[in-house]
Amino acid sequence: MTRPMLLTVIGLTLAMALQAPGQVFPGNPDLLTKSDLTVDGVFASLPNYKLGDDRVPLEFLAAKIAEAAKRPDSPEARALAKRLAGLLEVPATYECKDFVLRQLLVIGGHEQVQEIYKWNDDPEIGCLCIAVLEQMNDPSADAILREEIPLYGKDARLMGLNALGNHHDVKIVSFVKDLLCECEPETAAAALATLGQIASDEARRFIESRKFAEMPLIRTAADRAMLRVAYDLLDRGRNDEAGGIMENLYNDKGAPQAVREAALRGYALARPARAMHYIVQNLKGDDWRWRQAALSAMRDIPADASTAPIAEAVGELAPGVQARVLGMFAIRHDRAGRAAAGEALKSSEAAVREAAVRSLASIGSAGDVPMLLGLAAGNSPDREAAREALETMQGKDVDAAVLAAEKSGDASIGAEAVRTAEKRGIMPAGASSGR
Amino acid sequence: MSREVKISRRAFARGLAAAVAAPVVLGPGLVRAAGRPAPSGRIALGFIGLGGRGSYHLDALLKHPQVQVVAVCDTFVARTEAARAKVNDAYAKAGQRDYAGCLPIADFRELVGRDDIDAVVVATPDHWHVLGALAAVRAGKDVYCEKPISVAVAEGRELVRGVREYGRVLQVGTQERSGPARFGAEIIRNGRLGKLHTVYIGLPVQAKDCGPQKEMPIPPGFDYNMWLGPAQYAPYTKVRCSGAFRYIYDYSGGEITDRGAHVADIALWALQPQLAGPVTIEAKDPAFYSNSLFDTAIRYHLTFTYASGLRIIVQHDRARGIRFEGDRGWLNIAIHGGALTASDPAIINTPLGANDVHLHRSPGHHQDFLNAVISRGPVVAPVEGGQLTATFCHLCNIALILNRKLTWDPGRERFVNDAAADRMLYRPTRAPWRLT
Repeated sequence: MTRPMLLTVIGLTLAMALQAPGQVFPGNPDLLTKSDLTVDGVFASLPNYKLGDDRVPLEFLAAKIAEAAKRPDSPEARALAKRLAGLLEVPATYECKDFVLRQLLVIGGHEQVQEIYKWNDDPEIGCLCIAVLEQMNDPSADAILREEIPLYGKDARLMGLNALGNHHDVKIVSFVKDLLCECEPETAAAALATLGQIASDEARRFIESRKFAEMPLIRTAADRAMLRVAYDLLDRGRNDEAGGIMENLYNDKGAPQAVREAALRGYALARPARAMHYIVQNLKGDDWRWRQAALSAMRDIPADASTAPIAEAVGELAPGVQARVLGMFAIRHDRAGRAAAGEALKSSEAAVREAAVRSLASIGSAGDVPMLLGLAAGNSPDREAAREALETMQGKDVDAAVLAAEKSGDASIGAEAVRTAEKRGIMPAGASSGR
Repeated sequence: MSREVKISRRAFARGLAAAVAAPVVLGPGLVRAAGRPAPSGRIALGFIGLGGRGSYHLDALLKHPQVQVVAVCDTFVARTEAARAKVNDAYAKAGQRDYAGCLPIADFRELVGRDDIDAVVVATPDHWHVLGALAAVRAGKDVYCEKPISVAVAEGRELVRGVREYGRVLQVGTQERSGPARFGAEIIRNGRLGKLHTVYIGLPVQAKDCGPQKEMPIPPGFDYNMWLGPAQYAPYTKVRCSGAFRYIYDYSGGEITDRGAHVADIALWALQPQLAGPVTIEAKDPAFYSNSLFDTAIRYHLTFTYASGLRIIVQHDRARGIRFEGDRGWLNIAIHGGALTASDPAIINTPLGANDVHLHRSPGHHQDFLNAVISRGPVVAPVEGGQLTATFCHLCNIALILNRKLTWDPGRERFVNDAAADRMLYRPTRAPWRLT
């Protein structure tokens, strides 16, 4: 792309960016032709506007501004922007300044960035000023947010950090390193969160430097930021690096429980074969929360990874856990659990048998139909579960197995097969289904 | 016909599992067997937000045998105290000897940080949904979150990310999915209407305009600054902090994100496989509340056109519900309640076969959530679906405000070459609140 073309593209992009209102009322276009209001008159009264006053003048002005913003470089647009920014300098109500700042989002440009920024420390409108600069998404606004950040008031600084994190502004990293001290923990925590959002290698180094901070707020923020970095690495296919961070976080007893649980899940995604040991260990343990975390991790193990170690351990688990693990094999549609389900059918625990029967609807096959029909036809406590499994198990081969069983020598199984066929919406070939 | 369970295993692992049908996994025996350990043997719940919806959830879950309500939180002290008294009274009447008493908590961060809470109900005003739910998720809690899940696309994306990364369960409060509307969605998924060409979403605006509202003194016992939270400061007036917050853009998105979050949700649930590729959005003749504290849209006619040619038309001047039109007939789903009508009775009277597409069968929206807390399995209204629906609603509002044709890339969750519209996909949060 040639330089003039590039400048044109940048210019057009900027012009488009300047056209749009943020979450602001877009005005009332009808007023442009129907109202006897004037721009000068509205500007004159605006500083006194209070909540509850007639809003029609504001709607009129907003409509004028929206109209002018369609040509952001026009003298009219620039004059309106300048006039609006001027109202920040004069005594005016909060409501007036709120309206002005929101309209500057519609029509303001880099000429207004400094004028908005200088109010960042104002107790009334400071936060809104930073919000407008953030949403302007203008390079000069980002530059000022980044480079002046150590000079901000506390709230503005927090908002500035958030803004630059939201914009994934990698240039912020070197500016925030001095904000990580424990003298201002909320700022340090926000800075760490921003670094986590950016997730560059440099950002990661700064996060790691606060890993052993004494203040819990900062320590927790560092652990969460590292978790975010690890997931970002995972998204980029850098599984080994992600896995290393996840394993460290999982094994770090000083990290928050929720972060450790999340790290176990992340480790299962990054290095499923190596995570299996931890998952089984937690399923065998007696801590409710860790068992649940292990189940969550099992849920998200990539489908192409083997879950055989979990299946092999099912018999060693407490009955309630066995039932839930069988349920998870079903949720995953993971046939690695089929043999474990078969064994569980022999369990003396009703809940385990029930879970095994139900799991077959997902991980069973046509070969299980005769056994399920047997359960459904008998007086077993698992009868209802077997019926549901037969009604919901999928596959044309399952249909065929059910139809074949209608001819069973055992009348009760034959009757159950007929019932199942009806519930499944299938009829023998040549019969009219009526469906 | 293939069933939804044939979703790719890779997609499953990436966190889309919640979209998968799992109707038979958790039977009543498993629910009994998997109960929490002592002292309560139940799922310990905390409540954030105790207005209309929060009170509804509290009343319902207070009676639930699997649940123990242990803490309640609201910005109105009187609501918090009333809820605490209600909970204690209910458990006293139920004769619970080991009940330690329900904690009234002023700051939700303290509630989500408690080790004795398993899950949280977030029923705050909309502008707090994501921050409340994210705080809970990051503290290791499962979440029942009222709809719409967000007030901006980007913050919803952050919530989806948080739920996945922290491995939590999140049920969106789009309870129509747990009712008869599911069968309507299944009818569409199974192609009974043939090739769909048009879907109408009716969203009449029924809120009465409140007009301009004067500033008032903040009532004692109300933490107004906390109520505003991430939203920009605004002078206090009573209507702002009532259920009518829904008609002020700073806190919500009007009828479109309120009931739209139910109606559009069912439509999108039914249509999801057909929504791939870029979509154009056109708004016609929009109008908004005028000279009022309210500022959301009151008149709209929006057309979404998908890559397949399918059009979804959102109208204010149509009865609340959805009408699907295909080359083999039409189907209406009424909201709320899910009553179905169709061009041919056979469309709605023929049951699904085993090999048809089945959506997640929920035994009730609360029960479905509680089952997932135990099983770690999918919920009927997962965060991904909540994000899809909320995004649709936000796109409606952005198109109405900009009042021009927009092109949306659903894969990237961004507009196509439209920096101005992209800027409206997120909202800055007021300090000290932050999404990350």
